[in-house]
Amino acid sequence: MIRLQDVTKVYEGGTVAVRDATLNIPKGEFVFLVGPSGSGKSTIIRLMMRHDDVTRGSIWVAGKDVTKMPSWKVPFLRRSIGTVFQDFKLLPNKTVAENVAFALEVLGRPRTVIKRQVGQVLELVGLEGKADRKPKQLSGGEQQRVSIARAFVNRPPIMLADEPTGNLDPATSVEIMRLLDRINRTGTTIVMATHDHAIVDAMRRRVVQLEAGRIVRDQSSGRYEHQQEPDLDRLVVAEVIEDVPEIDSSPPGVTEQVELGDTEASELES
Amino acid sequence: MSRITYLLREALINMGRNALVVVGAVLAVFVSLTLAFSALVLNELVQANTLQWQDGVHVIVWLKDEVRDGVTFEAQMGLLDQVNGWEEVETATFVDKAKAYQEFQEMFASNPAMLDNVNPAILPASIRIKLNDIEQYRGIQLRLIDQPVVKEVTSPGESIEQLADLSNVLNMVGVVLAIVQGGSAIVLISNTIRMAIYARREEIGIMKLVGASNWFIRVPFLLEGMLQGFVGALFAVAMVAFFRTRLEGIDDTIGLFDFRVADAFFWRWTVLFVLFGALAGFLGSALGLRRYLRE
Repeated sequence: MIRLQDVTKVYEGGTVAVRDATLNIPKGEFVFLVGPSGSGKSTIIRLMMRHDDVTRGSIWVAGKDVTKMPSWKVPFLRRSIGTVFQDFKLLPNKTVAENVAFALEVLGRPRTVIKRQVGQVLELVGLEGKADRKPKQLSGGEQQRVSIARAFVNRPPIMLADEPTGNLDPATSVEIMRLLDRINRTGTTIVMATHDHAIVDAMRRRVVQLEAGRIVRDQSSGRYEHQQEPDLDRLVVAEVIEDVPEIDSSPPGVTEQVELGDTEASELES
Repeated sequence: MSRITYLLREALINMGRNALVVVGAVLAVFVSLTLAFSALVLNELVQANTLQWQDGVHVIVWLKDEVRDGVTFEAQMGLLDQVNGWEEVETATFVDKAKAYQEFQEMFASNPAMLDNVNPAILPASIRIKLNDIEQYRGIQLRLIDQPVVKEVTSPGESIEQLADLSNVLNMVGVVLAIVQGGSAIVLISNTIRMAIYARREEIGIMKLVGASNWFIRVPFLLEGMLQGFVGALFAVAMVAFFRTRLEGIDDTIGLFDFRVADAFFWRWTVLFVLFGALAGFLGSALGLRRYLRE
């Protein structure tokens, strides 16, 4: 569904945000992009939706090379991608229903279709009773549900989420993850950038770890931290997980609080 | 259908948001188009009037008096024949003293005091000349002034020339002002559009995010600019229409200059100016959109 081939992104001023990243995400998969701030997670998301242009390499999304796509086709690419952000990006002067409807309105959908689809998606995110509220009258978790509803109302095959739980407390984050999981189970491919350890550890999905723009780990059913164990255990892990080039480099984010820490090597294997 | 109403609604909501700037842009269009249209109307009036005068008498030769100056009637007729023989002359007619007095009476019919004080004997006979080409009046004037029977030669040619000169100057000034104003109107409209884009940057960001096509994002702004130009042009046309009724009001009191503007002329230019206003608005908003929303 999404494929990155030797992608490098150098921003103006020479900052290398992504270095030779190669990644293949099949249809229906749920992938976490993890790593500290500035490791290139957000950049990869931006490149996938052609918010930025790659410096080198190719990115295929839904069978199309987005790096060679003429700019007038980009809107059509975006219609197949739902996006969710840390800051919700809701319009404060529109109600919940209007915010969600907006995504369909600007695609020129007929009013009856809009009404039906908005109703359905609000039910899916559990906000059918708050359709006429303004974003300010909602909690952070509810606002993020609105933003997910807006991203999903057009039933895109792909959803990109950049720190969707970044502004939310752990309990609310879990609700959001349940929602994304449900959406994933409808067959939607989801790529989520995060540094929320608890969530990644609890979900046990594919984890792609970035460090200074490089993909340093790509592991199915992974945890956030690769290892914090004694050397002996590291060797065990190294046998289990292949294709890990920099196994000995100290993992990023070790200074951050690990909410579901104290991992055992045996748990990693499962 | 819902798409069109959506786009129009967006344009109107936008304009409501920065009403003051919109008023500025509309006024700029209004002033520039009023200037241009007025210059055009003025030019048309001068042209029409000049043509009218050119159809009339071009040169009047006042002849010396038979009694007081001792010029014979034969000598006067001789000159008439001579003038009729010149190739620049289309027709030359003799107006004797009796006819002159008759015309005088008609002209001042409403002013009996004037009539009472004028002795028919003092009105001179004259030769009225119609030229093939008004431009030649000067040469004719010079040739006639040396004739022994001629007392004075007058021609409206001079006033026509002066009027034409004046109208040329006014036209130039009008055109220059209209261009400067038109340019600033376009820049002002592009500025209001930029402000409108800025005010809606959040919305535009989301529109791009969910895959609204570039045209869908641009059209409300283009409509907004066109509407501003259109409204400004409507005001300008209304202003000129008002001038026109005032000018026609003058007409009866003087009668020398015809201040009426032909309907066909007025309406043709009204339509053109309104279209031009909308076009200027379109150009302004296209300019405002150019840097933004390119992607």
